[in-house]
Amino acid sequence: MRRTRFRTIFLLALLLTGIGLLAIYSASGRTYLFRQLLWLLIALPIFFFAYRTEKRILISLSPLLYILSILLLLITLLLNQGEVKRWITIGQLSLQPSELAKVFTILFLARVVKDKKKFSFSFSSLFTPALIILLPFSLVLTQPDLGSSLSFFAIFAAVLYFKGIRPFEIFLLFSPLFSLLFGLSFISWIIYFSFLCLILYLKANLSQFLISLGINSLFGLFTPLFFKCLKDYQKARILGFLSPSFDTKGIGWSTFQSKVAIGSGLLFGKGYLKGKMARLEFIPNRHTDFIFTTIGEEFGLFGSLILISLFLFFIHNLLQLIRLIRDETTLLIIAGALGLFLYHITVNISMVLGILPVTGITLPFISYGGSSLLANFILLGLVLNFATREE
Amino acid sequence: MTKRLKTFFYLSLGLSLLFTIRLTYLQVIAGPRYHRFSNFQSIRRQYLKAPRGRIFDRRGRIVADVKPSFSLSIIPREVDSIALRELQHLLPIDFNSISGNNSWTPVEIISNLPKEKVLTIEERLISRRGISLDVKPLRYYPYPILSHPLGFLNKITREELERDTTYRIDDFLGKQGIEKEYEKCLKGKDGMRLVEVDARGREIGNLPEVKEIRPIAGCDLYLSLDLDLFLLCESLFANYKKGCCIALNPNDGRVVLLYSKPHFDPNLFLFPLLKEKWEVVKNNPLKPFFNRATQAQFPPGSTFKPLVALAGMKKGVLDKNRRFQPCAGSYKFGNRYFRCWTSHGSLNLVDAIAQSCNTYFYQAGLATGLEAIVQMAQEFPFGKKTGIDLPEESGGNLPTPEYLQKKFSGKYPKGIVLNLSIGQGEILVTPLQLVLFYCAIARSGEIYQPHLVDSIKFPSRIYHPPFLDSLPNFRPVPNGNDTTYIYYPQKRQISLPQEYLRVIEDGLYFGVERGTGQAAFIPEITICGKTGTAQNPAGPDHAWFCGYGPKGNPTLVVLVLIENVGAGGTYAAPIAQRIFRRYFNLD
Repeated sequence: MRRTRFRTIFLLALLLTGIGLLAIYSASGRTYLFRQLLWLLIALPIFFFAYRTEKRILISLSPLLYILSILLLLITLLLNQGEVKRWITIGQLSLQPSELAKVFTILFLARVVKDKKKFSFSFSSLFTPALIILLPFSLVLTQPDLGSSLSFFAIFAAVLYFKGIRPFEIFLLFSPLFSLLFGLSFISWIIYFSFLCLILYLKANLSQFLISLGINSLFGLFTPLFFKCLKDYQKARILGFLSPSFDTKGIGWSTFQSKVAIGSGLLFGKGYLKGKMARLEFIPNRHTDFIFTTIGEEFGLFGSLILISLFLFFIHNLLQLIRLIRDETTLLIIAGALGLFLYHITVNISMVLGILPVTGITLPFISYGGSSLLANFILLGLVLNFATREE
Repeated sequence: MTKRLKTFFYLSLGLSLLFTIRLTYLQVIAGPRYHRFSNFQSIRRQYLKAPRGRIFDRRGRIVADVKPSFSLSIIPREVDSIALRELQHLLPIDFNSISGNNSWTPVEIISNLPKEKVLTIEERLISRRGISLDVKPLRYYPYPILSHPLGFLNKITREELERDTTYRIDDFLGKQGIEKEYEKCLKGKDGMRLVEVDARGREIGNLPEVKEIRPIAGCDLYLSLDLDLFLLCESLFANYKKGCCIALNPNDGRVVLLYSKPHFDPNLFLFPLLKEKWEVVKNNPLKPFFNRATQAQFPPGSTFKPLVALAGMKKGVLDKNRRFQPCAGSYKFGNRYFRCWTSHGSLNLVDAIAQSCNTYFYQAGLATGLEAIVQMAQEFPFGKKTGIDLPEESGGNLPTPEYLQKKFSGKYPKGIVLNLSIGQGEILVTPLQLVLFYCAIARSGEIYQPHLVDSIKFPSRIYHPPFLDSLPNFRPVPNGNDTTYIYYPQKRQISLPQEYLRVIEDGLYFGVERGTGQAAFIPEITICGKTGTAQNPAGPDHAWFCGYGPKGNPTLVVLVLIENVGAGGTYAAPIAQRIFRRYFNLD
């Protein structure tokens, strides 16, 4: 049973990577194809290493790996000058440490959460896990990479959910963050706040009610005040940060182009290598974040839906794997992986389809990018390792 | 656990459903329209030219403006040969650029059409297909006398276009002066919009999906230059062909006047139709593009004497009471006679400066020695660029021992030092270097970096160009809705004993009160100054004057150079006097 699951999931990952290679070749040509192949050749042995190594060793190593990835993030910030500090470049290779940090954070978080004897929605239970998440979150945020930094929250939410925290409680936990975002426009914050009050009234106890309302009003009212004190160019930076397309290409510019590319694919697409929009220098990051446009343009609605079904099938298989798990650490790791994959897939496709603003989030296994491919295969290796070799 | 798995799965399923709906909309319902867009003919990019930043003088008068101008474009595919011939009749157009071009995309044929041509074209040709007049913001210089500090714009060249991809083929670019130095600030950011066009290439309308990217105007520059002084200079130089005049505040290095004659009309480059006129300017033997204030290199003549005096005092061979062999109109060195311009008799150092006695300085220079003089000159901004915010600047030349040994291949003649002591021979200085030397005397050894741009004002609230942070010596000051970047003066200190400088200042003071610089005398203000008459093998002498005032609390240093007219005291000093009078509102 487990063997079959293992085979299905692994083959699915390979299939998605294969589709990615085809799309990368079509979007950006041979050089990127070869580089991605090279990364795959590096990623596969590491995958098998992650798959073969004994669970006990990996779990005991997890604090070390976590600290290592934090250090890498720090080095990235220190090493780079200029506006954007996301990569460490060694010769020809450039590594994006935030991708690896996501994986090792999952590993370490699972261990810490599991060690807690009585885990509940309380300050004492949540303090350490929250700290583990906030550290890489803030480091990635300062790069600045809002999209990637939020993925740590997705991981956290999924882990908490599978640990038995109610969705409503998870929502309360993250509510200040929403207040912060909605606070930029007073009306949207008022709407959000009324919604929050309603939910609190229906579900919360008194202390939850008071604390949540307090923190949310503080954040909601503080944000515009803080924003007002900023200089205009600083405001422009924040707006540009929330929506990176804001100051470079104008609002809706890259989104429009990606919509044209996808829309022009019609039902069955223009055919492989026949896409015009995605292949010409029309779309930014067309082999990385916007790789979906190539698929949409060249394979149409038909191809896009197949791809989405493949992703759904992938998630489904991971979920089915959880049914067989007895060990809690393994379960939490799979939960974290599910959160991460679902976040990446959703945010990437939403961005390409013009539902969410443009952020630099990759489409797992499909997008060009060594660090992302490596991280995804390591994560998969860990998941399959722990799931299939459970005592 | 099963429940949680189910919830998670339904969440994923819901998201997939959302994507399916969205994709169906994009690819099926809106698909055909997008499909049409993806063939490039149906969408055209239209650039919206950003107006270049304006430039103001110190009193807020616009010296470089932006005006709407007309440009003529044709669509090669649509225009017929009759219309083309008629156009050619009206305008000297080179149609090579469009021959063989058969596209729907408009090609700009002429930018900045003169008004009367616009009217004729509008009357006769605008109804023809494939010809259009567009309005664009274009540079306009109301005062061509400021051509040297301001510089000019010209069409971008192919090499420049390759170097910086943010420009496009029909862009203009600063090629000289402030326009070049501050190109990045002035340029602004072009906007863009997408327009939908029909199969014939005609505009149907804007695309509702894409917001137009508005152009962002360039930064406005506020200069320390004073237009009034330029206009005054222009009238004072009316009888002279070549020369320049610099005035700056020694307390912060802000330049108020940087006049160079002859100037040119920077507007010429913007009108391609005036090509012949611009050829005339280019071939003018007086070299109008040459900024004499920063690029001309001449021997300083007697204006150099204070430096020799400083070097001598530092070496200990001179003091204010030191006298040499009396001046009898010349000085015999070896078997050569070195001339003075009159017989001064016996003078002390102060009077030797005031009366500009060559004989005194021949002997002072011999006692001091070439190395000591050159070393002193190197403390001041001689022999190297001053770093003013203009791209055109020369470094001048100092006759260092190494330079002379190279030139004379080995031992150089001793007479060189005599020539150097009166600022003749190998030494070449730019007017700007010389004026900074007098700033240093005026400010007891402090030299402020000369600077033209006082502040940079950024008009947009939302776009923050990163180069603004990296501007050296400018600091942001929030100012209402926009941010102003203000220049902070940069200075360095030359360590010299105050008593040496006082001796020099006395010499300069008496020079104006009763010496060679009397023509610069103003009763209301104590002016200190020095004349210079630089010999020149190619014709009459160059006249120099450099001075500052009021003594004790100087606020203006003025330098005047007139080429090929004669003595500095006769020609240059009176002009300096008029400039002082105007600056201190005494007229």
